[in-house]
Amino acid sequence: MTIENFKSEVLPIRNKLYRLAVRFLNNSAEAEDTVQEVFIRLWSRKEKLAEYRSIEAFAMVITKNLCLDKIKSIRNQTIEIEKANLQMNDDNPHNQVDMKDTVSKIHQIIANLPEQQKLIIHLRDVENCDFDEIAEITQLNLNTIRVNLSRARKRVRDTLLKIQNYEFSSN
Amino acid sequence: MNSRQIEILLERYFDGSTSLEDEKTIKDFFEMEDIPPHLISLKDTFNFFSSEKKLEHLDESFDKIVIAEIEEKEVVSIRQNRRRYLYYASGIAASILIIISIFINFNPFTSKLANTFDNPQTAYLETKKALLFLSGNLNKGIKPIGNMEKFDEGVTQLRKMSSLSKGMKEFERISTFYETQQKIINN
Repeated sequence: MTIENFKSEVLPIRNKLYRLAVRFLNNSAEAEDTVQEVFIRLWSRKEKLAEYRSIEAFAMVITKNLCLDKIKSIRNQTIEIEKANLQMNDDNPHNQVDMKDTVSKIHQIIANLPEQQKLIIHLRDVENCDFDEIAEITQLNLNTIRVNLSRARKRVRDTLLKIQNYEFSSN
Repeated sequence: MNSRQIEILLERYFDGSTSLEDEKTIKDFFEMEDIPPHLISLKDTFNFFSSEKKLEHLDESFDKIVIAEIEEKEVVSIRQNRRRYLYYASGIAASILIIISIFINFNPFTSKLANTFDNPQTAYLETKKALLFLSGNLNKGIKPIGNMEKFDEGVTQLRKMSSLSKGMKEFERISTFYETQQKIINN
């Protein structure tokens, strides 16, 4: 694969990868760095790239794995700090500001889903991937994907309703 | 599409069993203005998904950064490859040299050792002759070693040198005599 091919066939998926990375990392600078790293890794396998059924799905897998690695290392670094700040975090004013409008609320609710549900609901409801693609990216079977998707969707609906009812009754 | 049909689709949606087309229908429905009140709480969620998909944060400037980094990597790897080929080439050249030198040295050697006799009897006689010739010369060489006895004699003569060192000690006394003589003159 030449650089020209790479430019025209692989780089256009940058925003799809970016959206996935932001979903996991909640940070646009971190997400941009991650996507850059994904492309570098893809280029380093340029000879084998044509063998993959879908370069896009392969790129999504790399993105997912890099994000999960980053999350793990961030968690390890901050675990001590979090322990110290645990009591202060309960009524952190920033969280309340973030929860002001509905879009931020939905963001927050999805961000709090388990990683697997987060990935599946993102792939299906944001990126409109079909189930075969989701299976390729998550390495899960169809039934597990449906169950996780259903749980994630219900969780988003129910949590949002709960927050809105709470606000309604407190106003 | 009436709200009854949408309700059926929504039920299947939350079970995770809608097709992509069904989901498109649902999303389009919630894009409309007049949503029945009992469904309005879902409008935000579906609109959220639609707007998230339109998020285009990275543009051509990002591509340029990636391409620049890739090109830089390419230059480095070409340089490394060139060096690697040089290593391979020198390794191959060295092994060819070794193989050639082995052939040159060992071919005449093996031909010298080749069996040139047809009859084992003559071979035996020839071997015996060669060994006798060898032992005769060996004895000739050993004879002069008998002269070593003379060397031993010389060594015993040398032992007498130790009495010389005794005499030297006696001489030291003369030097003390000389020192006292000096003291007397100074006084």
